[in-house]
Amino acid sequence: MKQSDLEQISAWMDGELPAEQANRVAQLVEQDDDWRAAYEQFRAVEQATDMLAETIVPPEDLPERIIQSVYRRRRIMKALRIGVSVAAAACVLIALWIGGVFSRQGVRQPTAVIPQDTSYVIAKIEKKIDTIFKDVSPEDRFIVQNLTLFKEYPRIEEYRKVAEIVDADTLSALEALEGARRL
Amino acid sequence: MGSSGSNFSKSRNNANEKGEYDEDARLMLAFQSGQQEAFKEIVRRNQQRVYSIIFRLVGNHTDSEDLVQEVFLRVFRTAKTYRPMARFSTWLYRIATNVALNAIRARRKGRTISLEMTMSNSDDDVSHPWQVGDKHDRPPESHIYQKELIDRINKALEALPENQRISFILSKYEHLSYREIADILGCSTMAVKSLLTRARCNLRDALKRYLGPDFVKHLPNHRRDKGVKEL
Repeated sequence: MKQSDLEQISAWMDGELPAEQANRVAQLVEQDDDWRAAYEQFRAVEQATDMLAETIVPPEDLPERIIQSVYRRRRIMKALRIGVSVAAAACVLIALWIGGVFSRQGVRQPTAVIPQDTSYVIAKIEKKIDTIFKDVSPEDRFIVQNLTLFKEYPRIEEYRKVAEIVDADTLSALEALEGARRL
Repeated sequence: MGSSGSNFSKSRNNANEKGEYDEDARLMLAFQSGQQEAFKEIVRRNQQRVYSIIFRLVGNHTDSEDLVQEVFLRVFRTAKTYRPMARFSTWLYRIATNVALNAIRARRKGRTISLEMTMSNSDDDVSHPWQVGDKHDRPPESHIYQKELIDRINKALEALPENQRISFILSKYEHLSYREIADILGCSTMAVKSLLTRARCNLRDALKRYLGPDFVKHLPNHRRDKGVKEL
């Protein structure tokens, strides 16, 4: 038999065919041996599986246990959500605190006090340096303007030479200039 | 057909067609609006049917209880987004079958779900409408034979492909219509028709040894689903 014929019989047994088709299948089952045989086989399956058709009875207290379980799990989920939120907030605070500590450690403050308007200060100091060094050779002037570098090697001749001609005010102005440039 | 104790029947009206909600849908809407008692009522009204479907799919009581709880937990969680577009029962059974199938797949993957594959009261001396085959060929201890047969039927059902099995269980034992089954499975009624036919063919093949010698010789040639073996 074709699959479509078997489908007709199956749907007929389930009461899912329109009246006209149902009548046609009923006639075929009555008159045609193949159709009748197929129907009998399906009926046997139905009868066999009827053996499992008894009502499945859940435990009497199941509804109450379901309700308790649902509300208990809901409470747990709620607590978890709150816990996760608190933990996330704590993480953010810790991250901010750590960031703050590192940023404080990471920024080197200039040794001299630098006003907010650094360009103005730089220009002023450079003018002062020009005045001081108007009689100094370009080589010495280069050394002085790179003072920090030469301070790392205080024994070298050039630094000592510069140190002789540069007074304390100038040094402080040069350091301030360097700090201002870094900003 | 079967004599399920379920009060759900094919003749139950779809209230939505009349522009009204079924009782469960109204309870869900009440629950949405904050009435906790409505949820409890939904559980009380539906737990038996959900338990029945899940038990028939997973095959043991311990897992069924856990899974029923899971189903109602999902109902609880998704209540806020529930819209009574389809019948409440269709929505609920879809959740139930999904939960059961997930558990079955997990079991197949090796998770431990104990298999106490017996139906409740299967040892009881109930009269079964067993009429096919020659009764005189059966062993004298008919209750032993019946027990074996029930075991074979369970195994044959378990061996069916998922959708055939769900369709057969929902149609045969929960008395759902093709339309309702199609809604639960998310397929057409024609597909359900085909699934049920193939389920019957597979069950017929799997059980032919138990359905009497006369039954076997009448078997027509037909397509057998891959993986379904004679037990």
